Amino acid sequence: MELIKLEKPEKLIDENNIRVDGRKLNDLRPIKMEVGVLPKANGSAYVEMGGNKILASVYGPREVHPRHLAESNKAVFRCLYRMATFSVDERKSPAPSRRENELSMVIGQALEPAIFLNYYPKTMIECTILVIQADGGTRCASINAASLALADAGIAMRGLVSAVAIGKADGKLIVDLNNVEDQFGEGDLPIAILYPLKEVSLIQFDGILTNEEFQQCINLAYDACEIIFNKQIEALHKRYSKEIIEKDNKKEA
Amino acid sequence: MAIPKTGSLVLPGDKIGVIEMFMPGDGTYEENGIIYSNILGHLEINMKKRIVSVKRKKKDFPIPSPGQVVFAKVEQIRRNSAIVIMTNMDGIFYTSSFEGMVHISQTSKKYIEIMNDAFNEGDIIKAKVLQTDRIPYQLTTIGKKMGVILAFCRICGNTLELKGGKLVCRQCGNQEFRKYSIDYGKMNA
Repeated sequence: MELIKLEKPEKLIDENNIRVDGRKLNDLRPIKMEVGVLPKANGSAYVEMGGNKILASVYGPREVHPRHLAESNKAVFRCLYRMATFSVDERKSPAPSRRENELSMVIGQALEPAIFLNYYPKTMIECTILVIQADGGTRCASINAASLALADAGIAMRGLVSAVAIGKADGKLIVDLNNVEDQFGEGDLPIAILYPLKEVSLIQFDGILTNEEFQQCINLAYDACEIIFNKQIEALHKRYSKEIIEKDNKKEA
Repeated sequence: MAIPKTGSLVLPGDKIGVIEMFMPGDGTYEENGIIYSNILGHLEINMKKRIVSVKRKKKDFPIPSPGQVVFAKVEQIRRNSAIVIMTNMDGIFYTSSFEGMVHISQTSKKYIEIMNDAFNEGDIIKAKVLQTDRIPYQLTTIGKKMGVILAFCRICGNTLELKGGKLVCRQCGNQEFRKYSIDYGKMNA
């Protein structure tokens, strides 16, 4: 039973094409990305996309446990997606739910084609994603965070993965849905794109769209992912500019 | 296409050049004739050999590979094998320890009756990785430089000292046999 119920707003999009939170149709929510936030992990990243706050960490390549899961020609990539109990309006049970297990698999499959797993045989790369605050489109934000963390860990990758959700509300296509639009909208289409070859590595869909609208959605996703991809590059450059490295070296010495 | 300068920061997926210009070296990969970076690091261009490579920014992840010299702790002794835990290789620590095995036939050139004559649980050994096809990784301690580099007394647990080719306990004077290395006692060797 839900104690707190989201109320449906009268209109998701008003006459001037302005959305519930004041954005235009093709606008993304404000994005903040930070790399290397956890000193003990091999790689880590913190991403804010609107109300979403996500922390991702990468450990490995390390020994596989249980050992029989090890593969002789490539590494095992394991992805764990968890939501904090305080991440949603109502308290979320800390036990892993069906949705979390499913999202772990989906995120893992979206990231796997980006990693050169054959470089690290008989080892395991573990990626843990914690949702601190959820506000619609956590899987896309998680993919952005996890790909940054993998790059920060120094794992060999084909490129970064950027993801965004495209949807439909009040008959119009919108970019980067928030929680209200996700729940009361007419469709939700998360897309992850693997750069630099611009290949789609994840596509899920829920709702009703015409063929033309679907094509438009994919074009919108390519444009939106380009912006997110540039933000990811900016975050990595910011962390690894020369001054910061020198500071870190001084601290260690 | 503009060539990025040597020493500039590159990210995974950054275009470095085309296959006609360079040979793809470490930290790069080639797809459809274009060379991309593999990892986050600094670009290195060798114009003599025409090789482009990326030097990683963070420390490398060493993974045991055949021929490496590793330091390991003996975890368990069986009748004809010993299970060891490898912690570092040539002074570089692994991100996490890896399990290895030394078979009795790979322990010493001499004949050894049972494994207890060569190692004891808790000893630190120096070994060479033989093969990594199977898990646990197979190690060998054949050779003068390989073998126990730090051992503990079976009676009182104190460290043993090498005196005239024999291992003697400092506290109780107990004499023990090991397959020891010529580097015994030099942990930094």
